[in-house]
Amino acid sequence: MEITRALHRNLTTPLPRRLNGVKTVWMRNFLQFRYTFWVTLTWIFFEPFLSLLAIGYGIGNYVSAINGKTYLEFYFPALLTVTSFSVPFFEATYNYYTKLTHQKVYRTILMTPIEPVEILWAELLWAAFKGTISCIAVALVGRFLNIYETWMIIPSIILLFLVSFIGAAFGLFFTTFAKNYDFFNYAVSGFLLPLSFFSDTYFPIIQMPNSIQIAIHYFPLIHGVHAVRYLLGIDTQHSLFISIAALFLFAGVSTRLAYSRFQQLLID
Amino acid sequence: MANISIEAKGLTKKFGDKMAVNGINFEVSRGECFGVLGPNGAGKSTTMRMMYGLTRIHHGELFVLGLNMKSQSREVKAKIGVVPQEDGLDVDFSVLDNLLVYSSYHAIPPEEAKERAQTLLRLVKLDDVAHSPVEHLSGGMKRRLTIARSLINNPDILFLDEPTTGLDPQARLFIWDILKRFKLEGKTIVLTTHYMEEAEQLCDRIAIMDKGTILTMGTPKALIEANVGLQVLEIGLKNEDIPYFSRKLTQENTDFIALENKIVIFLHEQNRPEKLLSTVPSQDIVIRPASLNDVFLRFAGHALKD
Repeated sequence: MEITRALHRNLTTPLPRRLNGVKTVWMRNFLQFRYTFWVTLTWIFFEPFLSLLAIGYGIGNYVSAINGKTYLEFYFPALLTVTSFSVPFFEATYNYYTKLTHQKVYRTILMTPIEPVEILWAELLWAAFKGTISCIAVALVGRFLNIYETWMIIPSIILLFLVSFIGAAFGLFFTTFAKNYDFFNYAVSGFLLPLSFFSDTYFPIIQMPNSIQIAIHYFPLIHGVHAVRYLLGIDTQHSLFISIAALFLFAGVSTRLAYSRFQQLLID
Repeated sequence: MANISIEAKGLTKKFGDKMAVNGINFEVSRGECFGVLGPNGAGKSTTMRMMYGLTRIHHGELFVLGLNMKSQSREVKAKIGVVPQEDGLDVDFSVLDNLLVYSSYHAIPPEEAKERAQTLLRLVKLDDVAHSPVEHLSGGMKRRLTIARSLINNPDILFLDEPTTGLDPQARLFIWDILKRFKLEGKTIVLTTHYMEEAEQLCDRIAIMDKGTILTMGTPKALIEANVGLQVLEIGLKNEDIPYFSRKLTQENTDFIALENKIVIFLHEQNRPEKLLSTVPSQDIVIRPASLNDVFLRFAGHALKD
């Protein structure tokens, strides 16, 4: 069999359109996701259910109202935001590191006309997509437990996509420094965990020293928490506009930083 | 341009302070099988990676299919196939899905991709396992799948980085057969290897690399004849005796190289084996045809496989 003749009718494959790779690389991830879909689906509902039960109801029972709202109402937007941020963060650290090193997924893609910038966008959008799915699961559990009753959950989820995107970009940025999996202990214990504790999440940040209050505003999570509390009508003292503007700024800067490191790793 | 597939001038790559490829020049003609031979760390893979666009070029020029690798690598990648050292297959996917996903990177329409994938799986004899997960395949089967993957865009040039390293002889023969067929169609092949036999079997022309430079270049036959003659005499010796006999051979103007535990003498008309053995008495002697390994020895002063 002659290889060339057997392969095709049109002799040359036309050059793919620029940015076509964002779609195809994203679709590759989706195909892989289908293999683990049911497992994923189970835990993304189970986890928020546990959190709301243990922290929202359990601990919340001992907490008096915060600014006239129950502890559960105060905590729920934080859970939405932390989930939206941390799910893509984990995807972009552990999973993308595996794809970068052990599986050589990116190197394989780069043997084709797809460029680093396309891989970057595909991977960030993919991780953000996973974050949004988890966020929707939290929203459904919250609705089931009757924590909120407003349709403003929909714009909240849309805005949280941006938070997921930032989580992915931060995760990928960390990944570009990793030499092994142990490195991610620093990323999780040193960054993600403190961030999720102190971003006006489990308790009002106002109880903390001034320096911590100021410092935490230089990180993205608190702005997401404030925006969602605003949209759900739980706490409207922080300007929605400023929160959203801050999130866009974080998205821009983190994507830029992640890209400059990532593309150097891909093509040395 | 028509008859030149690849043209490199002063090609240089540094990693930090370490010079990986040091200003090399070569040309590869269309339809030629060009082999790059050398030990680990010689700069073979770095040279390859520059040719298929996975490593940036520091200095020099590199044109592939008439396109500048520095500015048109996207266009080049659409027209080449690559078999890297590590397969980089998607382990979670089936054999067929691996090919289909890879075709999508090349933007080959799905129907067309399916047809091509099936054709190629027949070619590499993996059609029976098309729906098995890749992790169930043997090393040789994975390699064949990687070769099928590299052909999916019907490339003009095929780059193979140590394509048969770690494979059993049978798997190696099968891959050689596919490559020979690809070559028969007038396509260009560039491969690296540290198997002499592979280079002699497949390659029209060979560049021998060591420490980032090309030591010599030519057809396997010409390289052997010009540099080491037709036959080689190997004399096994105790390590501590080697300096003494080396001095004696030098005095007699013998063409030889001293290695660990042996002396390798390149036989020319003037030095007959009988005479040499009277100079260096040993029970441990072998006369064999000269090979590319000897060419490498001559230039690098050490064996190809460390």
